[in-house]
Amino acid sequence: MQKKYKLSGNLTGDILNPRGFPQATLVLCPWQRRALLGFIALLLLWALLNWRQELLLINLALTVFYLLAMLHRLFLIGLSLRYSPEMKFSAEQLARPPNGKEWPSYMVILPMYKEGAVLPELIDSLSKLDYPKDKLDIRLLIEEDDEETRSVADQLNLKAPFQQVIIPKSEPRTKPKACNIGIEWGEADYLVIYDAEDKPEADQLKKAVWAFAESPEEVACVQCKLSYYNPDWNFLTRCFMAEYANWFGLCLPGLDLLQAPIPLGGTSNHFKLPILRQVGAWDEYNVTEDCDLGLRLFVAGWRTRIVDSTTWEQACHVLPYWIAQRSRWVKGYIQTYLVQTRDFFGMHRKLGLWNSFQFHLFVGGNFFSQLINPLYWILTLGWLIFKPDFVSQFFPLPIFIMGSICLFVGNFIFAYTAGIACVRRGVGRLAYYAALMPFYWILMSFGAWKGFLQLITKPHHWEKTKHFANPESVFEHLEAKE
Amino acid sequence: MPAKVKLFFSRRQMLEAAFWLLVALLLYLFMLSADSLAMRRHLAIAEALLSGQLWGRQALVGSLEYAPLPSLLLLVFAAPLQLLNLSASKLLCALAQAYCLNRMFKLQRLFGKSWQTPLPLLLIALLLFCWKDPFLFGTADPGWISAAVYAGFFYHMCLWQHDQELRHLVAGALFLGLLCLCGASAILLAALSYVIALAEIRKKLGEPEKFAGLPTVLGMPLLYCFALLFIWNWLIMNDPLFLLRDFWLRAGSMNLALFKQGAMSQLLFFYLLGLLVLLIAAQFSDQSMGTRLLQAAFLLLPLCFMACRALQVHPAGVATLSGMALLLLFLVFSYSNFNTRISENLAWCAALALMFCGFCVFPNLTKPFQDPEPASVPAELLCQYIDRFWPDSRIMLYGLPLASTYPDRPEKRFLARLDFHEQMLHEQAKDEQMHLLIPPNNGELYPKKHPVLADIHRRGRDWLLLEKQYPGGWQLWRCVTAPSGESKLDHLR
Repeated sequence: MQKKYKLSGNLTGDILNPRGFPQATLVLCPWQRRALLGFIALLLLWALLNWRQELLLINLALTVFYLLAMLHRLFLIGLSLRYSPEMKFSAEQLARPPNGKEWPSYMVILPMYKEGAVLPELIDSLSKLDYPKDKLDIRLLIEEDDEETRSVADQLNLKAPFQQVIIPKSEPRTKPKACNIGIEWGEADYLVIYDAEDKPEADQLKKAVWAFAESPEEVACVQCKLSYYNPDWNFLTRCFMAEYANWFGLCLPGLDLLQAPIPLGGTSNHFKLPILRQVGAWDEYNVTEDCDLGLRLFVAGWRTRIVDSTTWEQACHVLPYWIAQRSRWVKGYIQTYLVQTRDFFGMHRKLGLWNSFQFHLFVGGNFFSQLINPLYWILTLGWLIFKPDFVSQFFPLPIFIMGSICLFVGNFIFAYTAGIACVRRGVGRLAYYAALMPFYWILMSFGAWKGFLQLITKPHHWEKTKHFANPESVFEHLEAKE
Repeated sequence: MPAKVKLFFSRRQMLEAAFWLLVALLLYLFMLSADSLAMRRHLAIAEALLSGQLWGRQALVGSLEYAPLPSLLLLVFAAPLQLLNLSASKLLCALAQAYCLNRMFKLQRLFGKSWQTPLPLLLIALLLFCWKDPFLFGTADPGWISAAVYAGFFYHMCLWQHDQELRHLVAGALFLGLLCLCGASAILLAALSYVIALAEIRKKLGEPEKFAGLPTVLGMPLLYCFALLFIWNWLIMNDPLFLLRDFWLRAGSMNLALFKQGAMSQLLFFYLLGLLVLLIAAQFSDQSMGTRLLQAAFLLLPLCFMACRALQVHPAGVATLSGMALLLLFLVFSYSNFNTRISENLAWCAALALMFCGFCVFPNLTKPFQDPEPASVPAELLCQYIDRFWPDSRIMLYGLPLASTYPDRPEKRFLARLDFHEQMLHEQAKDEQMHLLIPPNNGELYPKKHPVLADIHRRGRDWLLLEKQYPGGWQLWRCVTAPSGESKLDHLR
């Protein structure tokens, strides 16, 4: 009888920590709710007393935030351009296991829901993994009510190392819950999670094994780079590619160099399985469980490294689906931020001053800037067109200088680095899309606001990203929907 | 696991930075002469910006002669250095010069032999003392900022040729963008350098896939900074092309006879010889990127200088950029490896000829690149005259050179603008007594064919009364539009 680990359900009876660590069961804990209400009351009161002064100070705070976020991003990108920190391995190294004897056992989990269309391609790409088959345990995590995927999987007549794991229908209906159930039993040295549309590089598992072997004991996770195999489908996929290239090619390696907390990407996270179970695996209530897990590992003293191996994903190219995906990410980032800051002082104590600063800027700043950007765009546009005199009273010289730096330098840096990242990622042909990134940012803010509003109305709703076997099937799908 | 990146500099880097700061301090202390005319004008812009004067904002963006970067840097330096009683202009130039030296020594250390290390210093001594400092090495000139930016660009492009690291290209691109904020000549140099650098990159990489995206990476800052100039003009001057209008007006009255002057042809010959040296080095040495980039400078800068002289505009940065390019030429030349013995001998002969030429040309020219100081009426004289009859009147000045000649932070006696709006001045003259100072129409302080200032100088206006004419053609006009209801002629209107 195999040992079973309890990675789902409410074990403690504590609504905020159902499995012994803070989870996103509630959006706000009691003190956060009180603090938020107090802050709103303070803003209202202050507005009644002196709204001009209030707006001036809010503007000052936001401008300083923008400036710090810009400098931090610039610093990270400068570091990763200078040092190129990803772990790289040669073909000779990968020809043999690091211990010289045998390759360790690997569990591969593939959570999926209504992915029948892409399943054959997925099986095909996983069959090409260059890893001893007897050391692999590939689990297709299929929801109980997902007849579509199950029937395709049955037709494929899968043999070992593939196996179907049926996830019983229960709340919350999220990917992390399926993952947790999927790894409750069975043993392996390492685990990796892939999405249904992923195409990992064939030698990725071997690279990850080598990365763990060459890293100190405290490294519990290895993040591979994510990229898109369909960047040329349309404007959205091109910009999405540039954004991913920037994130995985410049920002995360910069965090890696600083040994800062790394918010994991949704797939291609390789873990030491015992440690993953020890920290409680994924938070089933969090819709960006990957980001949360990355931070939780860091707080628990474990580290994450970035490896130079790519998993090719499908960039969402249909605007409504893209917005839905983005809204989930932003909602999840807010959830993660709120969950991690529940023990406000404890978190700062554990992370230290510099890492806390980076956490606030990189995780908090990420969603916050997407939410407030439209406000400043409208303000700037209004100022440019109508040049109203009253605006100048909220921009005294120091704020004006900082604001100008953010406007003229900051925006350029964020766009320009997307171009640099494209070249570095080997998709230089997309570099000139960097100039169009501001239009993409507008879409990002749409998604962010949708996610923010959904956090209030449907905090645990999982906006499923639709994947397509080929571009034509998109239109078939849309027609069928109509 | 790689060692955690240190957030602070290593001990060695700290020592190196301290050494270069010391060099900058020494340069500051031994800066031979006073601020150049251009530097004084930039300082006036920075001061006007600090005191919130409109003309300061206009001058920051509205002139290609006095580019935004030096004014912005002076603005940053001016306030803190005033407290320490240090000269912002000299310190800025000293830092820029130290940076140039640092880049040169680094290039020398990377590519040259150890015995060649003192070469940059010897070259500077040669230019400074034997050639009588034609490139303003001993002067606090804003051109040093352009020179430092160009040195940074050149350094990173040479490094890129060495190891093809993307970061060098990015750094080079950022410097190229900054060069766009250093004046008209620097913009042209940046544009030509971009084309040459791209051609070199393409040649070096060979495969089109590797080249993909690099034009964007290298060109995006350049285009952005160029676009910024027009955006700022649109925002502040309400006319995106304002900064070009002065040049455009001057183009109609170019003084082409200047090209026939002996000094000009000597200068041109000198740079053509330099170009020849570079052509040989580019063809037969391993430093094709550096030498080809310098070709752009040697071709463009003398032409820009002559065009500026013909247009009677300030050749922003041309002197220092020319000096920097000359230093870099000898430097690159010293560590180049030539393919054949013949080409090496040929190149050395040409380089020696160039040096000899320098001895012939420059000691005979007195500061060939320096702007002549235009004559003006002393501010006290103007005020004394006005105070006799119109003690409350203010004198309106148009144009950047005039505004910086009569700096007045509280704007009690002088009021300056870069743009002339007749209606606006008219309205102002109704509210307060105004005078208008019009310099001679000789093309020095405004274009000879300026539609308004030249016309006023020649014919005046109905509402202007010529109160006094000073030697040299300076005119002081009084606005005679009396405030509404106060004119004795009101009943006749």
